[in-house]
Amino acid sequence: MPDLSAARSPPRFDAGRTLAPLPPAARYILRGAAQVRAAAEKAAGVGVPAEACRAITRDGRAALWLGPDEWLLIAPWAQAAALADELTRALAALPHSLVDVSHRQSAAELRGPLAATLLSAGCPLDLDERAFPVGMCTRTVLAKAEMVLWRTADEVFRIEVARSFVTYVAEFLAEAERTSTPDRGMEPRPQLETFS
Amino acid sequence: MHTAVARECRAVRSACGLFDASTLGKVEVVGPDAVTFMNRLYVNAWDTLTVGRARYGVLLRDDGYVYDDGVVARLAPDRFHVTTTTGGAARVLAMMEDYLQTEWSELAVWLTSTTEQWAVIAVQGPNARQVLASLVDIDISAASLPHMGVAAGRICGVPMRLFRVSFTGELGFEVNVPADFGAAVWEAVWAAGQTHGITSYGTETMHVLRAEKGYIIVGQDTDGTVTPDDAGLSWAIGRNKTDFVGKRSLQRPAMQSSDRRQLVGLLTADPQRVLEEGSQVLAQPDAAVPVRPLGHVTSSYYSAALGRSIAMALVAGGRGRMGQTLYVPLERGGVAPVQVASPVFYDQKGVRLNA
Repeated sequence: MPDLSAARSPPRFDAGRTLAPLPPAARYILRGAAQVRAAAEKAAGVGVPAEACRAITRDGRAALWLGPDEWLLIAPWAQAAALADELTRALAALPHSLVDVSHRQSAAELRGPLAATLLSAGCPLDLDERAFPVGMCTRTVLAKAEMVLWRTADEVFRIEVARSFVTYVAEFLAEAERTSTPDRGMEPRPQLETFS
Repeated sequence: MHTAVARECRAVRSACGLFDASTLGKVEVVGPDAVTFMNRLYVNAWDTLTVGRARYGVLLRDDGYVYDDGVVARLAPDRFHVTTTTGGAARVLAMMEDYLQTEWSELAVWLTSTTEQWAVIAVQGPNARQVLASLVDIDISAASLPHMGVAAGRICGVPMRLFRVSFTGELGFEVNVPADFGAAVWEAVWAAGQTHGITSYGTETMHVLRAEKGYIIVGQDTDGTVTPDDAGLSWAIGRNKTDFVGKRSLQRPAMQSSDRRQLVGLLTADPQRVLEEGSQVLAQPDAAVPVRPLGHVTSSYYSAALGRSIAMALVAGGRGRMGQTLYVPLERGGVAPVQVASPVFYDQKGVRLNA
């Protein structure tokens, strides 16, 4: 019998100069009431945000607020089993739901001065730093795909996309990059001017 | 295409077939009130489903009509792995969330979509157990993992949720592995199956195989006006349950009328004639137009296993018409006489899937 425990084939999630794939990660959806949040943050060693649409990171782990009783927990893949064990033990006595979604979605990062511009090609949110500051995260859309969007630095966004949408999102962002090069990206495009 | 479908059907019935069922919708229902939630939502009685077992679940809308179906496994007292139709995955999750947030917010239960977490590899056919036995680290004998059994284990070192389920009527398994491992595990099963006559099959073949067994496809054999009884699914309803979504609607007299359109099988007098899906079903061969039809053909295929055509149809009072001859108008004029039959055309006693 072959040993396939390392034979992963994640969807290819990169395109252009701005979008870079991130390595496979451990991901859990945690659902539950306030006590669950408090117990989880002790067990996971990372703050689990009570504030809406905020993410907290520590030592490579992250917790993202997705709803009043829903968080996305992310850790390096090597810590997948450890994180699940820690949480399961700490939450045993509390009503909650912990579900492994490590393979459900894939992550990539948009880095650089064009990051927000490219996202704005398909995301209706205001991505100005005053409206969407570093540390903010939310479930939103990119064109026809649902995604979790998280600003991790001034010019860095992490996106989490369902695996079957990875190619679509990568190609959408590549197309946005082709039509928004740095030298003329923010200028009005001639074909639009003819309609104004 | 007909040659390929017939070849794939024969392979599944005689040896082993491999099918990518990853698109099935999946929802993980977790929390101390998970069983209460499932009891209120689905027609079935979930209290009696023990851990490590699965059951065919039927979901209605509040109007009492079939909305979705799928196999539901109990992984722990407080954890269900719910599968939905492929096209219904998003709307079923939305309906679940809607009831949970607006009607039953007191329940301690949470829903997480896992459709894309799992790659699902269906291994179906009399040789399915032999193909898988060499790859998994758990006992999959008929005694340890009977039909509708569910077990956790590893396949080639990869974590697996193994369902002993069958949408083909054959001895069958659905191997669920984390999606990044889907391609590698598929190749390993394919390689292991080479000495057992393994053949990959597609959706059309899956449709034929399930129709030979009278298994419905929601949205094809139902159209939003079909009750569980119309579809022949009354057996799935938990008789002692005080309530479930749609129960009150089912109690209305019109929903229990004996002349409602009921799902039946149709056998054409000419065994080589394959009816057009959507054709009307008439009581008389020569009625003057306009004529009120008794119903319509919902599924129609050529069955290689039976060496003849088979069809399913919704027919007014259909179950009371067994053996009757009815008539299906043809595209180019004339009618095809058909005999009303059970919609289970193949292995009516279910010997094969319990092998």
